[in-house]
Amino acid sequence: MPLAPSARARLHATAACAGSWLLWWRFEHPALIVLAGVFTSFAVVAWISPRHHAPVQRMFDRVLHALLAVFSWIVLALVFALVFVPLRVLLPRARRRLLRPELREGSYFQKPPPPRADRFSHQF
Amino acid sequence: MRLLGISAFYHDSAAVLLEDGRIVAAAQEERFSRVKHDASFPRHAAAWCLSQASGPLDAVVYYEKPLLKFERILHTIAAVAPRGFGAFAAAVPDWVHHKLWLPAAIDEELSRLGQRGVPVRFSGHHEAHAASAFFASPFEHAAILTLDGVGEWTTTALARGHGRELEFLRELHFPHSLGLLYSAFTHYCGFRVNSGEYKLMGLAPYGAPRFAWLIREHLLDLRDDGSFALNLDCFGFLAGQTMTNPHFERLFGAPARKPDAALTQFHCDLARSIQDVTEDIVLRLARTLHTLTGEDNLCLAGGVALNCVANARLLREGPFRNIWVQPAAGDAGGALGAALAYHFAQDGAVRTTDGRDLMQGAFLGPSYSDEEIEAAIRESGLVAERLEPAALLDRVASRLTSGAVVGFCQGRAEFGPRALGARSILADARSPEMQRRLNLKIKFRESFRPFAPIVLAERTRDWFEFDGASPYMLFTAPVAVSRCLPVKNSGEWSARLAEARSAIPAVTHVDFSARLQTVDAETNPALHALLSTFERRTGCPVLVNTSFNVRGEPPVCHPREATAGFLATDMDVLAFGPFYLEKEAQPPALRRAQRSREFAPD
Repeated sequence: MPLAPSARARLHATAACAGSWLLWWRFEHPALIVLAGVFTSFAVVAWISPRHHAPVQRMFDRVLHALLAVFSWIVLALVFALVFVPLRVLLPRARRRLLRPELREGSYFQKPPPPRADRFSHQF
Repeated sequence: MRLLGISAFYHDSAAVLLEDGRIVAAAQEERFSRVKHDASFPRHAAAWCLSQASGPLDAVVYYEKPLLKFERILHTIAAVAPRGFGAFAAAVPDWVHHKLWLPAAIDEELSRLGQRGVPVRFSGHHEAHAASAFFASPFEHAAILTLDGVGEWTTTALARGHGRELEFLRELHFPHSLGLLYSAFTHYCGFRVNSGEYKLMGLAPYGAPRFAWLIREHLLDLRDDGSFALNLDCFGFLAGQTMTNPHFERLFGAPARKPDAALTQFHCDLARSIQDVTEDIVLRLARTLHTLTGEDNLCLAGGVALNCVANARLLREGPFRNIWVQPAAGDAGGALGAALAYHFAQDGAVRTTDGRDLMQGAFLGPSYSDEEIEAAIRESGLVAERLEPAALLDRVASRLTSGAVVGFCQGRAEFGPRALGARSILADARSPEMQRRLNLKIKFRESFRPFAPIVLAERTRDWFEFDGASPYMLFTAPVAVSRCLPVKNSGEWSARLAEARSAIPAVTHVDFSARLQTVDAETNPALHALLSTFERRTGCPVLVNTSFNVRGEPPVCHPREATAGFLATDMDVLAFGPFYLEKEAQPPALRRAQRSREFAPD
């Protein structure tokens, strides 16, 4: 069940606040305490008045969406490079079969396998 | 047994309700959502189908095998890597998020419609096409040919049907596909893939087949039996997201046409060339199928079966005496075929044939009561008269005789891409100006595109060189010689548009052919009565029939869409059920307000 917008705003703001304080506790950099302060203010506003927090929430959503998009592209590129490119190198015969089917007695036709009785139960 | 067949998630989603092998309801999602070629789950179509059911479902049958299709996609990516990252990134996330979880998605959608826990079953894609062709046909036994872009792996299937059995004999596999070959030329000539193929077919008669040898020599290896392999160096659909690539463009010496660029004789010649090659392939496949089966009857389905010029040549020159083409030959018909395939695979299912097909004239969609029609008219602020059937037909025929363009909506909507008189625009085929007027002022589309005739079934032979029936507008035929006029037939292709070539110029293409719909009284009584009335007045039993839709939208279904279309175009009359509306009788403010509407491209 999706969260109500106000609950979502509070959750995100609280998580950002907690995360920023965690970062400051871990690295103790002055810039991080400023960041923690900013996120704490956002969290307070989100809890007291989600309506006023809405512009900040929209900015959070855009940043999160952009991060997810970048992450997705990275994952896709890694899967492509680490799985499909090596497959292409390792399975040249499969590539040839796909790109040029076997000519048998002057024909490219293939004989389909006999149908299974339970074929409708499967997605393959 | 009550089954719901579903096609979805590629193009032309549809839902079909089958009860004990009888088609109760069938509709495409686009008619409800108003999104042309809508690919999303057919929620509205399924809801409407279920509203026609007399009890709970026994199963829902999906029209293809998703995991097999995913296997093909992964296999293709592995075959072309490191090229093809774009195609990979476009396809895989959708599969991972949605298409790999189809049973759950279908279950969730059906639960929302009040059908919980219905078993989800899966038919093969070409099995669905074959079933939609054979089991819906009037034949007890027949050869079956299915041709499309691609299902899971199969692009072409040769099969035999007998009683309630289907037997697959031969197949061709992706990427070697006649549908994809034709779509490549569709794209190259600047039309939209999966919707512009019939425009390419309509352009062909304006050209000469001067590139056919180039296609045979460089784009495919065609064997005597009709099997073939594409030269994949020239196509972009494996690794990229366009059908053609720079090799293809270099071969023909020009870049792909942009959609808004002018069509030239070059494109006409390309269209004619690929049409000739396609017909050659289809004929060879048919001869092979005839040798394998020895059958006199042939059933056709798959998107390529909508190529009515090829169908006509197959009927004229091919080895089969009788040909039946599924009117919803594309993926929408897959929903019907999936349900039929599952039904007849069950023990105890009985198939009887009585010489008639199962399609009920393809009038399987929604109809509306007089009260609903009246409410929509009232809502739109339009002025209408309610007439008795005979008076309505007489008034419509009279207006057609005087050159009016009439929106004609009667009974249940059609299932499939063609309008067959239930949601149609009709006009006088004898008018030399009508093709131009309909294209520019009503349909807002390219002026080269011909219109199709409807003719009284019993008078077909007087006006066309055609024996038999063509109730679903899936065959072309020459206009009868006695009705043709001498023409110059030369010069720039666009100049040939203006020549009147016959006594019915609005439906006679430049090569004197017409995409024919024969109308019989039993299947289509309202349209038959209208044609008969028109013939009594004029001596001509032929009218123009084109689908009732504005550009960029699917054909109308609900009365409110018809009234909107009536106001948005130069249509003169609208006849929806018993209600007659005259454009000149409408409030001036309404007529003015709608004129500035913008239309999406096809």
